[in-house]
Amino acid sequence: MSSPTERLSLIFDTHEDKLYRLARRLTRSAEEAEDLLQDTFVKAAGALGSIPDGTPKEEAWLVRVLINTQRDHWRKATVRKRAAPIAPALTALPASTAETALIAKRAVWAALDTLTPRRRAILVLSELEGLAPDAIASLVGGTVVTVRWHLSIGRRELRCALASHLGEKR
Amino acid sequence: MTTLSTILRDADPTAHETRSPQARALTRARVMSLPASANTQRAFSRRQAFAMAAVLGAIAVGAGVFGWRQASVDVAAMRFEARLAESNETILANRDIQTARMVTLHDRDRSGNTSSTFGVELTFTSEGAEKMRRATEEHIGEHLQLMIDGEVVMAPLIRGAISSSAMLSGNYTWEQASRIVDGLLKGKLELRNDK
Repeated sequence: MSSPTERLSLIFDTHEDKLYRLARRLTRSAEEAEDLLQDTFVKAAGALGSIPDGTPKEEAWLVRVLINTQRDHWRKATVRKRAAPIAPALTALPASTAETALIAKRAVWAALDTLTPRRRAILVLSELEGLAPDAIASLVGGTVVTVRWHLSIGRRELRCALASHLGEKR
Repeated sequence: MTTLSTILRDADPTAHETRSPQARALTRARVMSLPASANTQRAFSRRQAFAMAAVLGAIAVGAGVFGWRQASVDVAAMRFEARLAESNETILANRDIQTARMVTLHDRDRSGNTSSTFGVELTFTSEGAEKMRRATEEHIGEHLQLMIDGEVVMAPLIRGAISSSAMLSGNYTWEQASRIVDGLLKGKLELRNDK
């Protein structure tokens, strides 16, 4: 039997990289991603007993907590945005990239920001992590059908938001 | 041809920036400084917690109101008797009741408005059911008198042979129905205690 501290340390080292990548793709900056990762492990530290054993199950638990945590942030941010509309603060993007590409990226991240974190996570896991719908379903919870539905709606929403970029750029 | 996938991949932040080792170390240090606990706790979001609190609150208030109404009604055990109105023949007493519960009846009038009234559903013990079946079979179309403490609280029309259960659909108000249920159950309980 490992002590709670040992287990926390083990869980952190095992899953931290993947979770950071997901967190970074759900947030606007590296700092936000670190904060989100930290919040996720804060919850994990307080509830080690409810994290199931086994690496894939641990990961699924952490991914869900991470998405839920981000959803809480996202809801607060959405309320704030409604009060003071649209000021995309995407300062974290590297300045060296060409300006058009930068604008395109800003548009992409602004469009991603409009998706709910769960849908965004599903889309990101599929498009960027290359996971199959059944793998995503076991990770974020829910059925394969739900995942496909989120993917389809998410893609449509993004296409609408990015219509101009999809049509003309390159 | 630019697809959504290529646009997303181009904009992927993890493809362009490397995670700062200092930031990683800081996060790790912060996490490891936490008091790790083996507590079991479901990963509820705050919203779910609020929703659950609201539901529990509603249940508590409902139970409180129900309890209060019960208490205001439920004062003493009542003697139950069922008899035929015509012949004054007693068919059932408290001991023949198995359960009594209140049921909501929904009605729709001609203009389509629905209204709710309450009825009482009784189930009888096998002995009571047999007595009831025999008596009601012979007296369809007559009235049954249900008495609580010697007072006729309702006189439903016997519409068919009744045996193991009976729905007393008298279009009662909540108070009337609950008073009847209470009376029946209390009386049954008292009888059991007397034995």
